[in-house]
Amino acid sequence: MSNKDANHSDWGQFELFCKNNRKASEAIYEEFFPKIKKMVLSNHGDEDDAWDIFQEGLIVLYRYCNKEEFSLNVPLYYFFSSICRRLWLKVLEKRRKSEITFSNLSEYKYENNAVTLPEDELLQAHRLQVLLKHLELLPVKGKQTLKLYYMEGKSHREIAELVGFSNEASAKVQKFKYLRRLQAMVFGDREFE
Amino acid sequence: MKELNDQDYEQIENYMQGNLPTDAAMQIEKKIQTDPAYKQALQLMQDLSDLEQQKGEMEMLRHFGELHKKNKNKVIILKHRRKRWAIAVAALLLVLVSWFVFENFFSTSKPTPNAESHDTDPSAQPSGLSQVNWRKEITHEGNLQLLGEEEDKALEQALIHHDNEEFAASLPFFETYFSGLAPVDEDYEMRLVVCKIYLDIMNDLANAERHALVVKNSKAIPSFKAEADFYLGIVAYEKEDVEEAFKLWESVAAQDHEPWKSKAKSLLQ
Repeated sequence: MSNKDANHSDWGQFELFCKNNRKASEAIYEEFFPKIKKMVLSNHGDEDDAWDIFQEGLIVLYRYCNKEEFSLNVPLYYFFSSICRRLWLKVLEKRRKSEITFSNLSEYKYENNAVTLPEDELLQAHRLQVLLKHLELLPVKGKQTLKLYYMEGKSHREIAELVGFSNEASAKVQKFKYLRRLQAMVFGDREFE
Repeated sequence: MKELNDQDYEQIENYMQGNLPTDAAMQIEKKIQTDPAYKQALQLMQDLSDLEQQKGEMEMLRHFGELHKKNKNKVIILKHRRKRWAIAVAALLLVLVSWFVFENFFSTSKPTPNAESHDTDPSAQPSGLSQVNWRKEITHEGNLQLLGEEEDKALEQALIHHDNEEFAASLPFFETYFSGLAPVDEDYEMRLVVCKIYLDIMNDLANAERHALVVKNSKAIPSFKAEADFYLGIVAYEKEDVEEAFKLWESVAAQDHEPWKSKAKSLLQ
């Protein structure tokens, strides 16, 4: 990570977040989520939107953990809320809402020097969040089959044994069935790009 | 857009893994460029394969997901506790009003069959027969109260475990709590909380279905029934009865009970 002297006092909290520290995560959730929710709810969104945006914001923030050149020169919340605001604006643009008015603009006083986020980074976080959301909605067998095959590189024979399909061929057929279902869900999601 | 068959998927998969001869690979590349279904399938397979490199993010999100779930459940439990207090206060008020009405308007009312037993101890019941009827009411309330105390012990334990995210450990206490409830005191809200634990944490479809059916077949308010149908849809879906699942979600989506309406619509999409 970057030169420690250049960082804001919230750097310690950020480092703990990067290590998946439970207390730091709880503090972030309790402090940040209500504010992000308020921002989304007061700008044409609902509670589910707020949770989606919060998760996408976390993915983007997490990717800064491995960036050597990154330094945090503003409070962590301002950095995080800038990410979420950018993500939410993109959703709103997609939904073509005519009135976009962010209340309490002073909250974003640090924004100019806080976040310079590449578009593809936002998009990747968004795609990951949508994919994970729909993957979780598949039946347990479907989730396991796809994770074992694509993430863990297991063979169809191993999947048949682990998940409980009658044989290798059946595991393969089922894998494609769930893949077809996941494709319809992910690409049918109005937020997916 | 056409739906791909198993052979299409197999070809795309082989292409992604570099297992195709040049000619076949070129054919697939062409299809990927021209057919959105092919393009999507390849993108999906690549995204799924990339998840392996994103285990850190997934672990982090899983952790935040648990926090979020816990927080949502706390809201439900607090609401439930408030409701119990409100019921207790309402019951107390009812008793006081009943007592006031008896005292002021029925103190010389007709004798009742139970009067004799109290007449044998006039010092204990100086105000006469009307008190017997009134005591009947109190006995009834007292029974409820006793039941309540027994329930509370189990519920308290269940909620402590639940708060600590020891969901499996909370279940026996919840079950004790439900078994101690009279049908008129049925706790639909908690049934639905437990249904979610069976469904989401335990992967126990049979028990999730059992609790959801209690709510569905009860006189619960329509929003609880919509929530139960929503979970029953998930049970059907997990049992691979997609037709039934969609039927249930469609029925939820057609009603005006949020957030279930939106959730069902989202699943249907």
